[in-house]
Amino acid sequence: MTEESPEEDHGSPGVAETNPGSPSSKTNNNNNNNKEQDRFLPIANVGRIMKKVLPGNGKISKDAKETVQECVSEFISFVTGEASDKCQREKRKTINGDDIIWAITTLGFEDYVAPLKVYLCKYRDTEGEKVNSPKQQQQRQQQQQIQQQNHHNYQFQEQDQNNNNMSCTSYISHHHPSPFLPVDHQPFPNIAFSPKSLQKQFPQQHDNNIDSIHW
Amino acid sequence: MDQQDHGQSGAMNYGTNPYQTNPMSTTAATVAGGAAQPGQLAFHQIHQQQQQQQLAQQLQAFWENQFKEIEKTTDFKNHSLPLARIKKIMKADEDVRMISAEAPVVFARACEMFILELTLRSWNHTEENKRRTLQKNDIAAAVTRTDIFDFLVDIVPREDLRDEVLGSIPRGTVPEAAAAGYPYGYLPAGTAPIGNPGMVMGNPGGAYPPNPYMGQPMWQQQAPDQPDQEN
Repeated sequence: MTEESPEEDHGSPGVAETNPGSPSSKTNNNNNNNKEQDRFLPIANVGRIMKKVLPGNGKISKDAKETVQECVSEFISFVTGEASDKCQREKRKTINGDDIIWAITTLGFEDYVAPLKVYLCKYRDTEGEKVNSPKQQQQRQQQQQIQQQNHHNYQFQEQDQNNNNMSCTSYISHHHPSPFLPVDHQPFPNIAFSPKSLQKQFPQQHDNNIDSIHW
Repeated sequence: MDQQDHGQSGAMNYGTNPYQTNPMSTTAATVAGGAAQPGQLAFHQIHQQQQQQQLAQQLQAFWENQFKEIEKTTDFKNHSLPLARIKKIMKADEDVRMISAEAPVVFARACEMFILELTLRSWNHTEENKRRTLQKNDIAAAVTRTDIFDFLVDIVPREDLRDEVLGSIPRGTVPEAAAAGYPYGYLPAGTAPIGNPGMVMGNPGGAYPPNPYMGQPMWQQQAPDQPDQEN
């Protein structure tokens, strides 16, 4: 009930928040007692996301939030089932990000694919060789260390992104970040919205996986 | 009961509703007084098409914005949704063995996009009914109208589909009239539903102009022969 009470006032539903999930994530990650609750994502998080696409004076009934909670869990199970089947066919034990994206493609959510591929690509750049580690807790500690070490690289990445929105792909192409690379030498100077175009670049991610780099 | 109304023209039946309920509804009276029956139908159709075009534009802007937002993302530690909970939901499937750390991260983003798209499509229905509060039946309408949401038909009970009908017709309307009005307002041609009441299956493509929604052809091409899971 704690996480639901803030939503009951509906005072100003239109105000968007930056990184709204952070506090809630900390609280809910420690909540393993309520099995019923564990079947769904927190209603507060769901409500905040829903408000992002509504006009300022739009309101959301609690019924609607609860229905979306159920829909999201169904979406996760639906996609996970498809990804799991693929892993079994290929005799792999671990479901990874590529499997999730493949399943989403197969199930008809084409619009999601291009953004997710870019997202996964950037995530892997950030996490480096930790991508396939099944121990999440251990990885979190390592993430913090990597974050500190890569602080300067973040700055360069951000600078690079001002000039070239596909900097993430550029990094993959060179297999390492190159903050000093001249703009006119970027192999992908334009934003590639076409899934086909991204598909050509996608196999490189596998190469990057194989040739894991220590930052 | 729904089957009995199957053969009737949804457009014709809907056109008579405002007049039947004239004494009970100010809104209906206003609409009825403003135009003759044929004109009222034309107005409603135009409104429907405009609403669909507006939704298509909103979705296009939405996806462009998603791409831009992800381009700007540099922090992968703060998510809108808790990773542990996502992992737990994934693990509910007994066939799932090991999950890499990146899978819940990808899912967090995918689920956010899913929630946003579902909400946007649902809100479109809220506005059609001139309300400002998104309700459960709006979500039911969005699920019904969107092919990729077919896997949710069991999540949104059929009763909410009826609410969709009742919600758009002034109170006091007889059930028969309400049922007759169902296909006209909420199932434009070109968005054939799967696994919905039989009366709905018999209507798409017949009385209405093609759905202008640009995204539809892509989906239809990939699933030209849509199986009817309910039959």
